[in-house]
Amino acid sequence: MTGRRRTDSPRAPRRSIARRYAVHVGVISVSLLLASSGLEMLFGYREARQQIAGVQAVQAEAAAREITQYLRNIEDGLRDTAKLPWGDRAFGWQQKREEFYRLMVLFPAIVELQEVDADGRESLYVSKSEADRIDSGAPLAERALLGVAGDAPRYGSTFYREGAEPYVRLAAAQVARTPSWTVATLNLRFLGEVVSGLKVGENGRIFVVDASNRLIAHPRATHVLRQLDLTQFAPVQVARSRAGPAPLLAAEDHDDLEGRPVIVTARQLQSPDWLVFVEQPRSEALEPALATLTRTLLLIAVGGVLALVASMLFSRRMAAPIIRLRQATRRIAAGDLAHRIELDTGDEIEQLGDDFNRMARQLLESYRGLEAKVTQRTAELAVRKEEAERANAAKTRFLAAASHDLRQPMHSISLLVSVLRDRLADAQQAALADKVLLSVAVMEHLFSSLLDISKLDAGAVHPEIQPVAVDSVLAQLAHAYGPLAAARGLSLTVARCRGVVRSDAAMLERILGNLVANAIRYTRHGGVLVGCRRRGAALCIQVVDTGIGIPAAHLDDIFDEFFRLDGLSLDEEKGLGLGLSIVRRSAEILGHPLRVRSVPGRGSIFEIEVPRVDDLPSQQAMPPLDDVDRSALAGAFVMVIDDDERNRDALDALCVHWGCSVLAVASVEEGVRQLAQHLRAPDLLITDFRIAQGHDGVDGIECIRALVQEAIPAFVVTADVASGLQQRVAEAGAVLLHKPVGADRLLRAVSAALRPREDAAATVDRSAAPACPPQ
Amino acid sequence: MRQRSLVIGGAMSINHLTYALRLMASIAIACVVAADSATIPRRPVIAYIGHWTADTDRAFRRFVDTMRTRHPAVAAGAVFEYIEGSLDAEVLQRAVAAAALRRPAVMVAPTGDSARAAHRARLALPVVFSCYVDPLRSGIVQSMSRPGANMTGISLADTLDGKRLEILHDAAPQVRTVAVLTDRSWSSYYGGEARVQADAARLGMTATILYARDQAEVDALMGRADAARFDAWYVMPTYVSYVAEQRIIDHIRRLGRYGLFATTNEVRAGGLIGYAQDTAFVWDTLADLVTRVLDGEDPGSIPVERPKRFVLAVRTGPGTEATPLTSTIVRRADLVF
Repeated sequence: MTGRRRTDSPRAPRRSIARRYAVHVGVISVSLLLASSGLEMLFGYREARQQIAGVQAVQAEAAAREITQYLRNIEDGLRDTAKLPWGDRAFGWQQKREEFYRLMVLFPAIVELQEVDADGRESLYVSKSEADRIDSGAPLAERALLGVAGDAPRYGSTFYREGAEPYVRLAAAQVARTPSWTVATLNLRFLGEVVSGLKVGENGRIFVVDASNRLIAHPRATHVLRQLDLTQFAPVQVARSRAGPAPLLAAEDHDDLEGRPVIVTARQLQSPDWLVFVEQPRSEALEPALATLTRTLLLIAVGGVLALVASMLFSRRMAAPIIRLRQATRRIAAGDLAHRIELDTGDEIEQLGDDFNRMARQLLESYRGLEAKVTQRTAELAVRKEEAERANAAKTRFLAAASHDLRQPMHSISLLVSVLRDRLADAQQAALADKVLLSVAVMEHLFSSLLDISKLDAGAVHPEIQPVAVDSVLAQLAHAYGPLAAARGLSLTVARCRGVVRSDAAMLERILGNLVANAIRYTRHGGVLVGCRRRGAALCIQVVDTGIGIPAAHLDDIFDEFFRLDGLSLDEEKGLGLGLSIVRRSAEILGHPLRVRSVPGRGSIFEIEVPRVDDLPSQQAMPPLDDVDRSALAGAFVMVIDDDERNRDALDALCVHWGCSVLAVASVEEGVRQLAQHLRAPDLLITDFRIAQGHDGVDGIECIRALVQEAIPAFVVTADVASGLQQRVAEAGAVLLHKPVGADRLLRAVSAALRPREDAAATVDRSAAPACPPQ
Repeated sequence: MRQRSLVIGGAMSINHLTYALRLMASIAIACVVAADSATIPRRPVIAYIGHWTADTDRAFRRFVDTMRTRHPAVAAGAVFEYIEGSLDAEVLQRAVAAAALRRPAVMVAPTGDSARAAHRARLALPVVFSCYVDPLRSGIVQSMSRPGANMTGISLADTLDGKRLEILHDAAPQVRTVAVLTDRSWSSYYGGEARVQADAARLGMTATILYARDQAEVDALMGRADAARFDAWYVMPTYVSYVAEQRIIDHIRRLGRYGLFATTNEVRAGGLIGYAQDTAFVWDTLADLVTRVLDGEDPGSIPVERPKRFVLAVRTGPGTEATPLTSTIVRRADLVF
């Protein structure tokens, strides 16, 4: 994804630069703070643990020493007593008894003392609570205590009296003539007082476990009275699994007897095989570290907040000139090129602002220069446009004038020569007249081609699209070009077609006429076929010839102006090479697709596709050639209105030649005046469009109709090709014929108009007709 | 789409309404519960069973002072209630039952009688005792290390009679007849006459058990002319020795005979010889036990404690000429007055 913008509209920033800077700087600051504080806390914690381990090791060492010393004192007391020469004079049993009491006073832990012989039999028993015994001979409860004379004092196993209190025996060998031992029974609750006196922080404790993992000394006496077996107690398990002079546990995390987390250190006494545990609640031991942690976290929080605030302030200050730069560039981009950026940061941003100002100044200058150039060029173009429009208008006027002025005499010549031809009886004279007619036709064709191409160049062609009966167009083709084909020995077959298409009739006829003329021109043998094919909603009108064909390389060139297939034309009547160019342009204007297929040496097919329609207004229908009834013309009263004398005379002669009676006038007023002298209304009106004195032919038709109160058939014969003329004539209920109109065509139209009709009695609505010109 | 949004909107409204109703109901329930439980928390009541009145019972004052000294926070948050018991067992029993109905957090039974009364009452509340009766023998506890049930405490059961007589023999070998002053409760609970007499016989002495209940009976007993026939008087640690302490000491001094006592206080008060269990730990231990029970510890799991020290106190000097003591015993003494 490249993120290319589809439009040039400015995008709203997804994140402001100030916020982004604030986030980045803040995150970096806080991250660094967290990282450094985290490391500090980690190292601090480690140091705290190391310190705790050191302190607990010292405490365990001190406790072990204290306990050992406590026991050593008792041992020493026993040894001191044992070393006396008991049995000698003044060292009898009474003295020994007192000596034992003295030991019990010195060492409150001793609750009873025994003297036993080598066989473990009691010779003296002294107790704090029981009655003393002398020479009882009772066996020592723990005979295993008795070792070899001279051995170090030995400790027995812990036992319980009174149901709960723990005791242990300590045996010291006496140095006497006969081996004997002094056995002291120690109440281990006094050991509890020793460990209770040893301080481990505020809530730390020291406790002692004997060789059987029994708890024998604890600051909480009831724990001892419970006779707890701590074999499964985790610290004891771990300590027993290790050996050596070093602490068996070194500040390790465990739970105490109440299930609270503590840090524990353990040492082993050398004698007896007891374990001394030093424990301190973890929270208390780590309190300094926790305090440091709390302070650190507080500092992190405060520092983090300050860092964020500072980052926000800093980022705003840093982003402010950028934002101002952006706002200024936005104004410049919006078109305010006079706006200047003012920055006083003293850094690259200020330089960037200066660069933007220079760029804006240059843009402004360029823009102004461009405006001047545009203004100048616009003025030049306006002048040229005016000239072109004047030229185009002149050309249009020329075309209109040429069209009208050229067509008028051609029309007259055609009509007069037609009349002459009909009057000539001599065959040779008739042949000459035919040739004149043919030359006139050629001249008409050439003039038409030139005028047509000029009109197309000038864009003066405005098609009037309306339903057109194809058959009438085809009939006209057959009538117009049949003789030409016959003269060349070719057949011209025009297949009838009942189809109705939507097109401009004149242009369509012109297109098909050019195609047929071209086909005849370039065919030596065979003939030309004109037919129609339905193709969906369209009708394809095809012109098929058996001519020389068109090379594939020239299939597009043949539609260019003045292009001719040189050397291939057999016709002496060489054309200008404008026919197919007119065909293509006309087809483009009408929007009818034009196609050509050709096989050199075999022929060509030109086809034009025209949209079909369903019906055709009846007034536009032209009768077929073979339906011309000249009998309808006999005696018909035809009124001709034309301000051109030649045209008027030609029409007069032609109509008379047809058997009509004619009233030829130069204006509508004259026509109205002369009609008053006739007893009958005209049967037909033939009028030019442009008539002098401000009226046109349509007005004249309507006036005459209104005068005679009859819907007299009417023809408007004109060289005028103005747009809208066709519709106006059609709305007037008349038929438009463009000059030059051949005599045959005029004959067909007149005979069709004079054919008897069922609505021949139709009258004219005088209220809709324009007022006739005053007499 | 519009209809669908209405449906959705309606569903959301219903959900919101349901949530709001649930929240309100929860708040209401919480308020009720809180109102019920948020009444001012009841301060724990420590019910102390005494035999006199709160103002005159020195032991009760001592207990309260010890609690305030060793456990000030607990003492400040607790209510100390004095139960006026009686030496009459039935009255005492009723007082204990009545006190139990008020649901104290813990009951303190500082004597054997009160401990037995609390045991007979089969109280469901914790009881901490301190008594001279043997709790194991009297059935108050099942075991010294694990008392079981709901009672724990301190056993001051005294079995030093033989030792005391031995000390007397060591102190005054010439003593042959010993009058043993006690009360009938000792006799009924311990049945120790035979044991004392056997201990005395072993030492070459003859022990005669004499009973007195109160100071009047002491006066009557020791005021007789034949009171002087005994070489020594052994005052056992019983109720009569507590209530008639000074009278007994005075009688013995008047008679010019050796007096053997069970407490150092009696020697301090003028007696001649005393061999006692060191009970200095009792009030501290009692306070500690009460605090542990208030903290939620099961009294049945707290072992019964016993004295671990013994103190020999003797008196010499003026006033003791008629009853000299051997230097052996004086050297052995822990306290010499």
